[in-house]
Amino acid sequence: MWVAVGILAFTYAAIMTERLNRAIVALLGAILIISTGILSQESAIAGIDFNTIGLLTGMMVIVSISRKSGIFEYLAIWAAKLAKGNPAGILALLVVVTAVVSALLDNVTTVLLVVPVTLVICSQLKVPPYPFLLSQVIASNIGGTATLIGDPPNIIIGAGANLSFNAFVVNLAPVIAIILVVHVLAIHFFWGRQLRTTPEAKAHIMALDERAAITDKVLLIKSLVVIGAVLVTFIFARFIGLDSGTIGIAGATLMLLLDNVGKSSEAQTESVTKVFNEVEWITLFFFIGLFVVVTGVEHTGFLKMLADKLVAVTGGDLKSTGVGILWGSAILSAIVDNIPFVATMIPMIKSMAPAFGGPEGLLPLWWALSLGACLGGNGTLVGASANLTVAGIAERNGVPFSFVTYTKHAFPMMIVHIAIAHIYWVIRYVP
Amino acid sequence: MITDPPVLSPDTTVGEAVELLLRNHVLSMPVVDGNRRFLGQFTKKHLISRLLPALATQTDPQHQVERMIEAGLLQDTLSEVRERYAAISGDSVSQHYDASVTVLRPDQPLVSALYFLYAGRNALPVVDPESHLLAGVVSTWDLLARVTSPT
Repeated sequence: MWVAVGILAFTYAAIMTERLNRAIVALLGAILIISTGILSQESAIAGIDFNTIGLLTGMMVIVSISRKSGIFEYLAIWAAKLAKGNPAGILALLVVVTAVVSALLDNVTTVLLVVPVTLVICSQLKVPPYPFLLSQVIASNIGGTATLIGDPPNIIIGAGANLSFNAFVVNLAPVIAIILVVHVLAIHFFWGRQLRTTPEAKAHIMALDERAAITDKVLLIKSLVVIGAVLVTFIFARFIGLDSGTIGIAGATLMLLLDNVGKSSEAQTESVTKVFNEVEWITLFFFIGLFVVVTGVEHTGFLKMLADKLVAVTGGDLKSTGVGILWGSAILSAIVDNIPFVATMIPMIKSMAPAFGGPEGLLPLWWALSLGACLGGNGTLVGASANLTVAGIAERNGVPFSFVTYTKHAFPMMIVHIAIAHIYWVIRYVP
Repeated sequence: MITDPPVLSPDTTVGEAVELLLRNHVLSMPVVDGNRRFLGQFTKKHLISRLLPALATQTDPQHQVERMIEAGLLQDTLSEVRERYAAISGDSVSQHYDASVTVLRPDQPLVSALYFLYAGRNALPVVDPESHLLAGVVSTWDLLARVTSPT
């Protein structure tokens, strides 16, 4: 048992120090789990959650094709004009756009596309970009929490606990809407209402043509069709008996088909190669390695032992267990990568089933884990990959975005969001 | 190859270097120390990258910059470009040369020079790998002159 725990601890530590690429670390951990005989090769393969891998890959392919259409620039200009060029209004609307888009797409992709447009709008309005970037990072993590496909921790929780797309929306979207409103108001109160610009700058924004940003109208229609079809399929997934991995890959296949049909075979080879090159292999191999390591640790009974200890401490009380998971995951996710954390928590929570009257009784705990892990990622700059992505773009464009400043602003906001989630969770799930 | 190409010293200012580019009608110049050891190349690519808005020069696999320009989002006036130029024109060239630029060795075959010129370079410094001394520069003009001249 302790060999497996040691491998898990090494994996965590190596991921935190960032001395080695995280895909290398996770795969190294997985090889050790197999070569030390903790898992046979067959059970290691069985431990890899292919629903997660399939869904992630599928979404990566869909996004890599659809983002070429210019829809994100369109949305940002549309929002800026809707706010009549008023900086406070643009700040608030871009937060909402970011949150909604990241509920449907991966958070890093969302900020990668929204942030450059935001920087340009800020430079035209001659307003400081920092409040815009800060509010958008946090919004991307908030919005991503609302759906099964919005944030990687939700994808793993959904696959691991066999939860449907609809279950995520029904249980998490209401509280996420409240948190988003609170976030918009807080950003307006602390930053938005102080932003000033000139009538000329406003006129400049109003003169922009959002339709000119759509460089490929046909591709835009194809992308909207595919994303729409994927969402509808997710809503009816349980009735037609399709798992999330199949839906993700099916969506990707449809997107590739629509994007390539009618092209010459050389052009197809070139475009499909390009799309597959943009798939984030580091993330996928990181997940594959991690699943094997966690399965290995689970196999030794260590996680069951931890879960039993936790149940013993809380006396099997739903309220204290759920609140503990919510706050514990929030604080830990702000410090460590939330993906390995959630991957470890899933078998642990699963083994608590007997104490809570079977798998049904665990449902509230899954929502606590998701809210804690996803929202907790806002706490510090290293809490979620979207935070680091924005910090990188900001620094390269001369906008200071340091760990300390970010944490000073974002950590208290994260605590408020978790407190709201806490109240919601208790009201909704504690009898 | 030209064996006595115009060169820059690292403490030349960017403003003086640009004047030399204009006067010599070249798009890049080697930067050498007092002993004519090659340090790097002062290139038009770097120069123009500093004249563009910072956002436009980042790696952009999805052509987002092109779309923003198309939509009228990313605009720029001559006076803004002049401001950016003024901000760097007093810097010394040592802050602006490219030290990792590909160079030719004196013993490399003609096809190497052809290949690098094909790949987008306009002038290739020729540098001795042992002494790092600048032996000369091969430019597109030298090459064309050589190819078209009767043997």
